[in-house]
Amino acid sequence: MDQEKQGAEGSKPITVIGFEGSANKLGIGIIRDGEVLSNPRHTYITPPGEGFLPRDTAKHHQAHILDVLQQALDIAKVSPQDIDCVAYTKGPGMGAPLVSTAVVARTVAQLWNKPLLGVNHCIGHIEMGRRVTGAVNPVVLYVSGGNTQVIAYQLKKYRIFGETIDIAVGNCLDRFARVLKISNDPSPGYNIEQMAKKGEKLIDLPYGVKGMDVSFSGILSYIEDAAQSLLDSKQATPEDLCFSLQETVFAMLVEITERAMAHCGSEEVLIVGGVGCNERLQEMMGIMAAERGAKVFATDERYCIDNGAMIAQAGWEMFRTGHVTALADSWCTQRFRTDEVEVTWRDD
Amino acid sequence: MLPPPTGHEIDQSKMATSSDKQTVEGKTGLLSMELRVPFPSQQLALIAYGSLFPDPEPRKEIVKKLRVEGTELIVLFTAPQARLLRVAFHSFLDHLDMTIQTMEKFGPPEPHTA
Repeated sequence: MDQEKQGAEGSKPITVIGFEGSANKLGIGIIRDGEVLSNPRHTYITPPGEGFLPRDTAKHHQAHILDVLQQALDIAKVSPQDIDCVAYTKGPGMGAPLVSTAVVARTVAQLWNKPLLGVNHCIGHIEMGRRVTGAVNPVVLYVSGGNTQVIAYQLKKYRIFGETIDIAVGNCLDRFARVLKISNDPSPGYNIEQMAKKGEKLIDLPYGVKGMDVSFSGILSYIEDAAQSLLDSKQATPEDLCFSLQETVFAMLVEITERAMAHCGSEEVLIVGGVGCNERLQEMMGIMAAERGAKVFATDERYCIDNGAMIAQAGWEMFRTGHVTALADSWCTQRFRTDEVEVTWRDD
Repeated sequence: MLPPPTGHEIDQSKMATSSDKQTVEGKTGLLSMELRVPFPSQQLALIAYGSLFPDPEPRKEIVKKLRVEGTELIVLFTAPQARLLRVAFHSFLDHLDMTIQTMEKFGPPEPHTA
């Protein structure tokens, strides 16, 4: 409904394949004019107590990428000739996994003689969220293992109103999960969310809002130090700790999101990124939004969590407005801010 | 700490005086290594080149230069320490393997490639 595809180019549909591998998820998706034709994903899951390291994650992507690519083509029932553009994540993310994924994207783009397009990962989340939910001009809360940003669109840029000044909220949750040796399958955040539902006692934790920005490293250090003694002395259960951590960090996120909405006069909020599929976060955001007469938009784990379709969707918007990436400019970058990208596909 | 280099292209006297932790001054002190990869055609060698040249080495002391001669992809690595050379070479081989596997599974190239 927010597509203007029947424009100058006539009615020929545009099909884009997207490669995502910036963290521990490897995903390849195919989009045709906003419709998801396929979106297979393979996740690198580490044992409890362990995080994922760049080198091992790159090995995981290398081992699975060709099978996932075949699946993406098979499920979508498209042949390489049907594809108009090969999009991949240029950054931000972990260097080695990004490059492992980009090498395959570059190879198929050349084999199939298709244009290549480097996509900003955060823009992928925003555009997929807008596409799936129909949110028109929302304030965006982007929350994942590597990123925490409050974003609003203005004058051809997605501008960052507030962000974490240290670690991402998802990183805080993931590392807390390691302290309690909570399983990483399907994800540490999902398991914390389930345990938190059984929590009854709210432990007082530091609250780190600094103006429009947030800080999580102090909260993590505090709970890492306090966890064992609270558990040993039976002052708290693991479930209470999960509950308390979630309530505290989500309250912080809701606070800065509300401030951005007030500033922009926005009546929509869109939650994207892996932490965005947490239903308690969605519920807390919903309470705030209801009080303001605003609406919350969120997606489920298919699109919240890193996936290939989101890179294809952002790539589709970019490609139809004239973007392509020359091979010489197709290097990956660990740092790539959301507001570096010119949003050529929005006219508002 | 660093084992004495024995490669024929290395100026041993300069290496011996260099410290382990810093870059050796002068080009003659750098270790270098050349890799030659044969492909069935020049087109495939060029595709491998296109897939592997864009990413610079994460550490700027390591230099990786690629070129295609005939049907061969030739890669020259230079680095001030053997340890750095090994890291760069190791991950390059992984990426090379990815691009070759991709060609085998998703090739052959479209005939009208420029």
